[in-house]
Amino acid sequence: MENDLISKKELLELTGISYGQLYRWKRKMLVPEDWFIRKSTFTGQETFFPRDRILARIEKIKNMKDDASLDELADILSPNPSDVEVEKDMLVKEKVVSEISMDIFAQVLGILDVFDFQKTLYAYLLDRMLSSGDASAEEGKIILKTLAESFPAFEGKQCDLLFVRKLGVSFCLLIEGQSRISLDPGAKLVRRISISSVVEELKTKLSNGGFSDGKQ
Amino acid sequence: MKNDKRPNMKIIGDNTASGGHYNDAKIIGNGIIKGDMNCVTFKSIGDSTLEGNLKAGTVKITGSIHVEGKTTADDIRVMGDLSIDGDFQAGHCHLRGGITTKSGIKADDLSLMGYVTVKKNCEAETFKADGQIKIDGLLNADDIDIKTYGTSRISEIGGDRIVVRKGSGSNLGKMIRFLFLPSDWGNAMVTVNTIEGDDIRLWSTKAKVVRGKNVIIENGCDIDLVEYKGSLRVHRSSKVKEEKKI
Repeated sequence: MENDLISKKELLELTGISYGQLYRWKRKMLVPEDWFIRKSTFTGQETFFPRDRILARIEKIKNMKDDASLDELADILSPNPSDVEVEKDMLVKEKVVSEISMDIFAQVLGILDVFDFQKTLYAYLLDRMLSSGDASAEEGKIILKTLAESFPAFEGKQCDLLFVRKLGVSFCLLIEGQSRISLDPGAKLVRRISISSVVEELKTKLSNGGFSDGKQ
Repeated sequence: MKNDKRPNMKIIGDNTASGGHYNDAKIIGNGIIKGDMNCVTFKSIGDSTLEGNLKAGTVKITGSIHVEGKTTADDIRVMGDLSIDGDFQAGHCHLRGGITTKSGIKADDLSLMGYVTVKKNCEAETFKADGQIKIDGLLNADDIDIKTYGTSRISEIGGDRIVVRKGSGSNLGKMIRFLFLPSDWGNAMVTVNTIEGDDIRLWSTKAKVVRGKNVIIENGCDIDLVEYKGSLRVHRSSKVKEEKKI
């Protein structure tokens, strides 16, 4: 858990939004339930938020709400995969996923011509890990397998992907978002990716790329 | 949404049926449905039990129904008693009588007369209730209008426009109370921990904290702390321990 919290009162003052808006966004799940952290203070219970994330989120909502309806926004921001279908060639052409990653993907999960959102997400995550140099091709396969087996169980929750290496042996973990982990001193946390934020990123990419409705 | 391939179901009298996909499902009398029910319209007159989830386009209930799973409906009208063990999700919701849920409620607009008991959060665009309300979680709606009869208890209220008032009750009841009972006996009151909204107007409310833009405290309130941005008006018979302008 982060220590840097912002109280609800301060948040409203800082961003200039009203209680009504905040509650409306909460209802539409634009602000995830688990960001509402309750703590007791001398005036009774108060609600706090993780400062950086809530400020970034509200900025984003404010910028986007003129172009999209709240329901559309909720769809982009929710951790649940949306129901898009994209052709494989499109993903490569739009540089969402590189060709090399696609090959590895095909080796593990089979050759697909049309990707649904979840598969796109897996491929995208794989591509990220490979292109950043954090994982090798073999390790990428482990990541893919873990995702394919375990990610669906996290439906509706925030989820983080962790990649750990110790003495040349690497493994991959999926944990519930923002929970704290400790590793033994010999192990190294190579990368921690918040899948929920990647989902958001990918959704924005897919809808901006103009092929949100899939086959064009 | 009518689908010709789906069969209809009808129970008259006392019977058990299995769940499944139906077009119209009708129960008159006492029905038990085992398994998940998925239908276009669901109508029940009498007393029925659903041992599974209910998913329907329109639901009409006269009498009582108990659902042991989740309930999802576009349009639901209940005259009588609705009790649900799982989540309750509905578009338009019109309840006369009572609703009890062991989980939360999510609706577009909810209009209620009677009692409501919710163990978790209750979310709606508009929430209009006349009666006795017990919500252990957060009541979150754009437009909240509560008229309380008897004591209502809500853990938290949050929204845009919030109005809490007291139901008037019958004249005879008022007279009996005036003659025989202590003046504060059985007074309709809403007890809340925190209320947060933009425009708040309260009657007969006991709250720890009220935060809002424009706050009007009418008679019969007892509030520990009011924080406001715009304006505050307090009726002289109400008690406000501390007020802060931000």
